Amino acid sequence: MKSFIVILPVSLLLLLVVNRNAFRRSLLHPLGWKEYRKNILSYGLRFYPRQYLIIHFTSVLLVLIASFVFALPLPYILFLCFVVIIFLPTTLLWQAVFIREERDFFMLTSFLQQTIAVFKSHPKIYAALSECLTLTDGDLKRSIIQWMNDIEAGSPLKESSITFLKKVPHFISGNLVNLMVFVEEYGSTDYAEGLEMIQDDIDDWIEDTYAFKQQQLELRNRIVILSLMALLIAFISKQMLFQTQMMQQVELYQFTMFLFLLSLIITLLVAQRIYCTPWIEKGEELWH
Amino acid sequence: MALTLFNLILIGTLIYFSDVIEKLLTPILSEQDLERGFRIIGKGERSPFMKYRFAKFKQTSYLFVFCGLLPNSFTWEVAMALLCYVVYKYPYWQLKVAIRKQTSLVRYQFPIYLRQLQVLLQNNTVVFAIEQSIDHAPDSLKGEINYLHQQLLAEPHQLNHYLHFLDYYALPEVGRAMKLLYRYNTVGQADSYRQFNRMIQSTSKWLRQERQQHKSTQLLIYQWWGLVPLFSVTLVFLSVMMNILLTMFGKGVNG
Repeated sequence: MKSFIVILPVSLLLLLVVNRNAFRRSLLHPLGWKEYRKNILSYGLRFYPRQYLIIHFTSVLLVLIASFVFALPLPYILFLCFVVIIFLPTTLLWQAVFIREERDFFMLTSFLQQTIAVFKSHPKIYAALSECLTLTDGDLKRSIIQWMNDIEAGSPLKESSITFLKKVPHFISGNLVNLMVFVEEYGSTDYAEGLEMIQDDIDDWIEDTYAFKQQQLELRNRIVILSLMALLIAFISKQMLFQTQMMQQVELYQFTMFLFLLSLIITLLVAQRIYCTPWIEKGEELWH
Repeated sequence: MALTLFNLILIGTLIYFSDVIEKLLTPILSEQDLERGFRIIGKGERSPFMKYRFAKFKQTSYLFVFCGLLPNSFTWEVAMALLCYVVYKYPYWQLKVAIRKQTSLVRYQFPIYLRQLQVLLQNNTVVFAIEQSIDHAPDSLKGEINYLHQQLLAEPHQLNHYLHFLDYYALPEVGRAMKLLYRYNTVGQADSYRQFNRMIQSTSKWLRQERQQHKSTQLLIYQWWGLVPLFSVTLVFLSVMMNILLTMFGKGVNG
């Protein structure tokens, strides 16, 4: 037991060194609150201090209940609580990333779809952009305004779109820009087919991405259910042991239980990480 | 002692006739797909690669000297032979991994490039569309597209130029797409329109397939995490059982 009292703070210290960013935004850091708030605001979301504290309180309470139920000693309980407090803000940020990515993805796709629809009836880039500008927000809006300003300033059509393509380097947006530039510069009568092809690509893209996100959420839920089941089995095992009154190797039991709870917390953290992957695949981004 | 002596003679021969042995063994041990691999990853040559592997093998074989001195020397001898095999094969395995990664990247990005080309073909000829696409083509294909363009400028109606494009990847989908592109370039207006539509349909299907496959590979890594709680609860259960067993044996079964 004594050796663990030394090992635990050392491993906690190592954990902090490895995950410096996670620690910096946790409540254990003096400026952690401000750092988390800054991060949340940078994703364009609102920060609710009360909700933030309630989530912390509930999570720590759950860890405490589990630790007492499984009769863990104090150093182990403290270690588990520290792990939860350090990584909870990061987990909440992953959720914020998900919300932001989802919003950006649907904003981009609806902008592209609307631009195609407008350009199909009136093949002028500037007119299409000014009509669809209202659908956008944030960085995307700024890049489109820059594109429009460049066109107004008389830059060649292809060069004026560079800011937009750098912001949205996906191959579909590149294809759309290329086609619109060719149609406007050289003129064409068959451009509608090209636009329809891009429209189909966007529909497929939305469908595939949405299906993938659903799969990710399902996987996360499956992992959470498995974790709860594992907790139940562990509880039954513990009850069995205590009822037989055959407990001799207390330290071994406590250590395995501690490892079990730690692995459960890590698994739940990883489960949150699953759906926080970017909505736009890096492999499909070509216009760097 | 006899084993140590045998090992020493073996290592001595390996050092003294190093060049001869290397020349003898290289053609036998060299893998068939090395050239193709180097072409795919875009770097490396057979001769320096084999030299490097042989040098590593030679360095590891020096450890055989200690085998005779250790207890269970035959077991150590076998273990050392296995180690030598792994050391010799490791660079090849690394190459294989790099090939697999690059091939999967090309399989993912080729339909994307094809789609770029199809959009450009709305207003341009095949050769001009290829030229226009070079700047924004996926990095993994840029070099080959440039080469194809140079060849098509010289002989635009030569089928072989299309067929040889990325042929060392041995991807049947690429070959089929390039054949369709060739036909689009050479056949008459009405026919070419039909060919073009067919190409668009197959690209759409391919693009989605690759995207879905890519995404499911991403999920596969996380699926294993679902087993962690079950694995750890098994450990908990085992420790509980051990506790009970130890207590029972401590007291005696009847006690």
